[in-house]
Amino acid sequence: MGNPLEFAFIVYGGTVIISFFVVFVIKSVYSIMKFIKKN
Amino acid sequence: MNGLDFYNLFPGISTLFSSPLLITIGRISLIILGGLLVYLGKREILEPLLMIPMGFGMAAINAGVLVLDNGAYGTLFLNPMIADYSELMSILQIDFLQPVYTYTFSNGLIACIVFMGIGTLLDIGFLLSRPFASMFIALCAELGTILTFPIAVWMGLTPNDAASIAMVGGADGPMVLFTSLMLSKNLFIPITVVAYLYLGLTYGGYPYLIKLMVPKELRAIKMPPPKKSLKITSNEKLAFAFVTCVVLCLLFPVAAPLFFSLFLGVAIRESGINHYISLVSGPMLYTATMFLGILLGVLCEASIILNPTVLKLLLLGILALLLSGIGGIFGGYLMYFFTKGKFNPVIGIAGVSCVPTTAKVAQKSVFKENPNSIVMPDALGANISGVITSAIIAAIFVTLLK
Repeated sequence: MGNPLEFAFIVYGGTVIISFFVVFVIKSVYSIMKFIKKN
Repeated sequence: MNGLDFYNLFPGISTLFSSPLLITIGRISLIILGGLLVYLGKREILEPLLMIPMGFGMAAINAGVLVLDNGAYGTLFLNPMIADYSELMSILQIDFLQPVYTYTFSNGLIACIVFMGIGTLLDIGFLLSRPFASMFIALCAELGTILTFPIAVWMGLTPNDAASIAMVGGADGPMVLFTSLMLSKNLFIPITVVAYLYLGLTYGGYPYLIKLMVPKELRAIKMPPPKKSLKITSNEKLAFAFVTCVVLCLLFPVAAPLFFSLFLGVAIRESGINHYISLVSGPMLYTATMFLGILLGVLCEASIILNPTVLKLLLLGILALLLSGIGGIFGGYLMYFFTKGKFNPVIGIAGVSCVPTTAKVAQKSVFKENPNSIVMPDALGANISGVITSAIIAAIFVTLLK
């Protein structure tokens, strides 16, 4: 681990990406369920 | 009969006065602190479910010190410092809380059971109805976790210890316990105790932070109803829990027990199996919480907890919670500007994932200014997102530092 501030921002950057990926999963699951319901 | 004197009859008192002065003062202070925790728990200023067993444990462990067979001072409660396997086998048969500590606490099982119980209490429909806004606020409310880490390193803590104490900013007790067990075995007792003590303060302290940062007219903002009413079925919630659990376990196998426990709780709730729901959200959750409180209390023995680092941990813990609260409200303000004044910034505090305390704090603060304003659903959405973002940060810390 180099600079702790830099490391903290890397951790935060990763958290932001994965959190919005979770939102993407939520939206996808919702769309798929809706599609299944319609057909 | 020759050795029968006052000090042999009352070893608790004799060990109190024959210990080094610092330990004696520490023991007396911790007995008083234990009594204070019981009082504050009874008055419901701090969480009674945790504080009453913790206060009793803290007082009893510091009172009940005796001279053991090997001449050392100790107790008949438990010994968390045992590293030798054969010694552990003998202690397991002597110290009455050692089996609970060894088989449920030191491996994180108790944290996972509490997490499973929390899962059964979460209605993720609140998150699914406004996922972007909820997640955005939760990410802002991680400010304390992110900034406390470098500050702790600059204050002389190792990166592992710094990450563990920084997790207090996520305001999630089981998460702090899990991270500190994984990353800082030597400091996990004081870190977890500091975390649980401070988490109890969120209910009392955050309303003042809200008053300080959000003016009265903004606290009274009434949230408009969602444009289209989304009806999230239990099948959709179950599918979300399953997919998210698998994805997060794939990304972070080191934190898989935590993700599994949380989403299994959610799945049990949505599956509608009433026997499981009442088992996990009732006896399992309350038994785990009670033993967690007892163990946290008995781990506060003066000779274990009196560590020069504890003062740093106390400072860093409160800093982490304060910064997270500020970050959450800042996120609420950003949402207020993005939505052109249609978002109540107080909801930001609920991004700090102390489920459901911070959501209740948000609703209570808003209700005082405008009894017609209901922010609870949005606050719970941010709250649940906070649990997920804290778990992700914990997983990243453990993956990168372990």
